[in-house]
Amino acid sequence: MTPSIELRIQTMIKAMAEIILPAIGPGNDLAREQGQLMIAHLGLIARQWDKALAYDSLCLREMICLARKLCEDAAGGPQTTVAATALSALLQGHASGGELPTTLAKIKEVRVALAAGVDQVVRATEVDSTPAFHAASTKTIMDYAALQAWRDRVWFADAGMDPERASLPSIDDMLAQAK
Amino acid sequence: MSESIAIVDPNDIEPEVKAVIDRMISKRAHGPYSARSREDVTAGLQRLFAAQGYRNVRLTDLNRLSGGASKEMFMFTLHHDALKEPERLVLRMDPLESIIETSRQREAEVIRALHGTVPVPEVRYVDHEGEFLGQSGVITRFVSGVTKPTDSGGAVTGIGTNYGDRIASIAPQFLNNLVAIHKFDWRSADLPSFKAPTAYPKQAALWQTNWYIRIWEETAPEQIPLVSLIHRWLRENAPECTELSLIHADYRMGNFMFDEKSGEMTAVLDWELAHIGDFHEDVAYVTQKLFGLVNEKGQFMCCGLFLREDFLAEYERLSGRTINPETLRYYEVVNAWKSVVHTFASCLRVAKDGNNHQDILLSWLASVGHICLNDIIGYLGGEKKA
Repeated sequence: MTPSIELRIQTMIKAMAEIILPAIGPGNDLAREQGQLMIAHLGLIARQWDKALAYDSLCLREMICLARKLCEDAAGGPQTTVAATALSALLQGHASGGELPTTLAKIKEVRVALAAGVDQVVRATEVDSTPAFHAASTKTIMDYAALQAWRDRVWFADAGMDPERASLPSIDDMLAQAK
Repeated sequence: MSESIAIVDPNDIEPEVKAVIDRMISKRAHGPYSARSREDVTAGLQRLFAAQGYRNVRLTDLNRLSGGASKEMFMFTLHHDALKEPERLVLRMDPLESIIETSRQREAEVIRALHGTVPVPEVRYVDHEGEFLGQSGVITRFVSGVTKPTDSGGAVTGIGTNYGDRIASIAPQFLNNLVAIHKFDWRSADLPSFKAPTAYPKQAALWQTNWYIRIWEETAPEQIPLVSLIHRWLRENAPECTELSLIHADYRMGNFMFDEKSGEMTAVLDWELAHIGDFHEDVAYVTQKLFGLVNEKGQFMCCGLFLREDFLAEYERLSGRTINPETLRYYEVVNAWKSVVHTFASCLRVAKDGNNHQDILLSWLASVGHICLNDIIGYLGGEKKA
């Protein structure tokens, strides 16, 4: 048996709140503010850490769908064609509904590469895409982004900075909706 | 310069701002950065005041201040032979890198220029090159007051502050000061580090977008599809500006001080982003979701002070200006996107590199970017997921 991650975070929060913060002198506001932020960060991590792989996998799956749709719709001159071809190459090995990487680091690596590829496609649409693809790329990205922004806001709702956080579901409910 | 060339020229940025970005890139490699010690700050101040020719300089009650997400701040009392009374002062000093890189010289110039127009702290000393302090810094006279009610809890300053019963006294002052800034005669003012975007009608907008796109490209750890789309939209939809004004560019809750008893605003703060531009930029900034809150009636209050419609109508009445809804929308996107650049690019990069004295705050603030992206989806006519 080993001390769980939950227990270690819980004890760190208690030490910060009950011992360390009260020991900070009245003239040291920055130290107190950073101590409070440590407690807040730890609390957020405690609620997120065991769901991080499921969450990042979901986000990557959605990014793959976005990239695939842009590749399917791409139409225009040489720059748009080159950018779409490059993005398509990045998608090789990521078939729809296929296996995803199993580590957070690898998921991030694939996501970063795909996002860079999408960025190149969008830049190319400014130069020589057809008007139809210009409009289609806007709708495709907006639809993706609306869902992604909602998921990300749910993920960080407990940070307490979202003025509309009362309307957001729990992380578990958000992940369940995606299944 | 023809307009068609300007629109595709990403390097068309106000010269001093461009110099600041170049400086940011060159110095970031010198990290990581550690918070300055009291001894280090005291030594820097001693060097600065010795260079003024002051004798028997003593510094007392030197304390680090919290609040703000960009500068290291200290309050102290200065004593020397030429002073009849000790002087209470505030030092704002650059860390190695922060949520936004700006010029202390410009900040000092604009604060000095606005003295007598709106309440501002008096600038006493500037060490733009960091010759004495080690980092660029500006020293102002201490102003009494608070940036948030002391009973408003431990929220990050400037986000979600509830002014409660003080709204009635603070809101009119907040608006009057904004109007006064926009009516300020910047053409006659001593602002040598500032340039006006007069080369073509869209330059005011494009200086802002080019500035932040450059920061994004130099700083963002990864691309975000919606941000790529926003960059395209900003370039394609830049509005013309027919009446240039002085823009504060960070005019919101948390960036002014007030007396808790009387409700009197004692200082407008954080002038580091000020520039010459389109008044819609500041008006749109006040309406940003991030800096407002939902009151007990379920109404969204801009900066915790106004209903949106009331704020816009009252601004028009007091300023005599007409707000163009499309231009306002453009700057709503610009402002929300600037917050995205601050959070997803600067906060994450600077925290990762360890180049700030409050990396923990920057990593905390980064999640704000999602809220701003959600707002932008609404501004661009997208269907937000409820």
